[in-house]
Amino acid sequence: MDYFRELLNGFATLLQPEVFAYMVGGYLIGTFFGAVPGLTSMLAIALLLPLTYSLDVTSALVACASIFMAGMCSGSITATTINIPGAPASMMTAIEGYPMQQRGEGAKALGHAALASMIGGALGAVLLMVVAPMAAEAALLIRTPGKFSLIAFALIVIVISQRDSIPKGLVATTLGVMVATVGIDVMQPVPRFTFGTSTLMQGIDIMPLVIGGFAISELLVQARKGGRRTVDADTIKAERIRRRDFIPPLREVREIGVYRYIKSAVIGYAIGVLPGAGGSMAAFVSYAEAMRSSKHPERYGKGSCEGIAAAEGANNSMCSGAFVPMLSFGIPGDPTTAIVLGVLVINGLQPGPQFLDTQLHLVAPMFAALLISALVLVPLTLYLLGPYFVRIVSIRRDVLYSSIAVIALVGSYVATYSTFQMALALLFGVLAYVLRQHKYPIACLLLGFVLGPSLEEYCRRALSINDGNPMVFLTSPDSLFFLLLTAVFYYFMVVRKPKTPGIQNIAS
Amino acid sequence: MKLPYAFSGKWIVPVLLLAVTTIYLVEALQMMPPIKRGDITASFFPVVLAVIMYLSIGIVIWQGRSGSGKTATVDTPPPAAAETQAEAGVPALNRFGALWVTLATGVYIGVFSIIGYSVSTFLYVLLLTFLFGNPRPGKGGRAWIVKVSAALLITLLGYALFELIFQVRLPTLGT
Repeated sequence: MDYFRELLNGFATLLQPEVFAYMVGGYLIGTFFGAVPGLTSMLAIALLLPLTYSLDVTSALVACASIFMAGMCSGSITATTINIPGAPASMMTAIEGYPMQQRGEGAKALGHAALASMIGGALGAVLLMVVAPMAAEAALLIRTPGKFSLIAFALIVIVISQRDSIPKGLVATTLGVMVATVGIDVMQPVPRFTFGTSTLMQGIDIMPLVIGGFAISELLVQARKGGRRTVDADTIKAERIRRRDFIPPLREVREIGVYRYIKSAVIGYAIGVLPGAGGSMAAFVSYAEAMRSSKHPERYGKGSCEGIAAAEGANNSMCSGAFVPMLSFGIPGDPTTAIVLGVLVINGLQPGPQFLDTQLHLVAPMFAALLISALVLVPLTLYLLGPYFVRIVSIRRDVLYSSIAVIALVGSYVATYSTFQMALALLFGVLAYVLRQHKYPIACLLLGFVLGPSLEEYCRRALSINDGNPMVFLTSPDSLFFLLLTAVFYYFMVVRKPKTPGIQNIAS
Repeated sequence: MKLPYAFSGKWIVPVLLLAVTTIYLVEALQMMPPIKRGDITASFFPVVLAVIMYLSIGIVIWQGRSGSGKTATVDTPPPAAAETQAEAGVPALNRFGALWVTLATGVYIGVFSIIGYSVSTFLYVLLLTFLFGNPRPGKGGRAWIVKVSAALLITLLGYALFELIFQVRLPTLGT
């Protein structure tokens, strides 16, 4: 009962003017970053990270949650109207939405996308509120060897989800763990890799890595591209969109069916819980499942409302699912929740099994923000801004990227009031840029960095209490469970790769 | 056109990472032995990481070599060549855009606490408007006015965001 009372208090906190303003502001920022091609909601949260030093933790979490939710659904706007997905998670929406736009049904496609995002996001948030305490209870049962195997499982799944570049994913992840070993050892008071400098003694903060890896590297990528605007003036000569056309016909909603909406939300949520999956995989799997079980598979690729609903419902539901392992186990499954974990760590909080018991008052407004963002802000933003969005996303590149550069660099300065953090952000930015140019996944670098210290700590603790005997990882039931789970994932994701020829044909 | 692995540039990152890993491993081993009197020490995990890194870099190099051999036989141009073609239409300034932005950012960081937020940020943003926008603003003063105004506005908004809203003390000239 206390849990649900605390959840209700979260809604009350959300209604406080300042917190509410952060939710709406975060949602608008997330919508902008999600819709502009080249920018992502993850970048928006990364830019927000330094500001959390001087921000109330509840407001910061609420802003992060609404940016995350907004970024997932706003990508569908440009995906549908100009066939440029604002975010990778909107790829499948572009496949179905753009043909509808060409038929003069763009507004209806956006309406379907918003409705599915609304249902998927709301169901995901409800599932998060229900499942998170259960996951936390389960997390209490895991002992030290099991914790090591769980983190190893998360890292391995993150690596093998980089389908075409698993070795590069492994390199990036290992590099991230290596960077995390700089500073005082996790178990003994021994400085490591400080090269005699006191500056590195406290280790490398998550903030310059996030700012460098996601903001500075993006600036360097964009600096190589020409053009005056983010979207060409020729491209935005899209058909005029009228607000009244946003409401999807009831007949089509019935045809999609309640079951489809719920199924997409559950698929997205489950994929969100898995490490390394993310919005694009949620949308892809849900879309594939919808196509497989559809009564009208022939409509897919030509403008299927059902396909849009499946993809959008899943990617918004994924947002809430991604918070489960982060809050219950302290293990972020994707870069966005890794940055949110950074927000908590900056404020001296460490998620884990006891976190929801002790700090629910801080995260309950975030749960409420996920639900309200999905139920209210998704349809409201589309209705109010939808007709103008194509013009909003076409802005001057020089103004946009200069602004991002200033926020990113001055934000890095905020952490310690020293230019060392700025220099570190630039260093990581150049490193991330070089890695990106050679197709090394930066998300793996960040997740390796975040999970590395816990991996080392639990590995060494488990070995220490068992006289250095590595068999403890096989004899401990919880550890064995996660090792077997790793083997199962490896089998299904690498050995027996899923084949979806129908979708590949549509995508090509 | 056949492009051997050695000339494809794919080896640059693995070789750099090999060098970094070697320095990392040497430093770890100099710290202390990985296992001392049966106990695991602070250098154990870094040594394991270095071994994993060597193995994964080995696989990347091996894949790169076998991959470049396969793609060389196909008629389609390799990604590097396609990228070069795509970049042919990009202005010369943008081709080295990443390098210019890195240099400009390095100088900005260097002078940030010396000349203060306002002057350094205004000059930095003004430079970036050329690097991210049209490098030739056009004849007449109007285009210059737009860029200078944009730089001023961004500097002011940055000041308002950090100093006024988030109460962060930014460096000023002479402090």
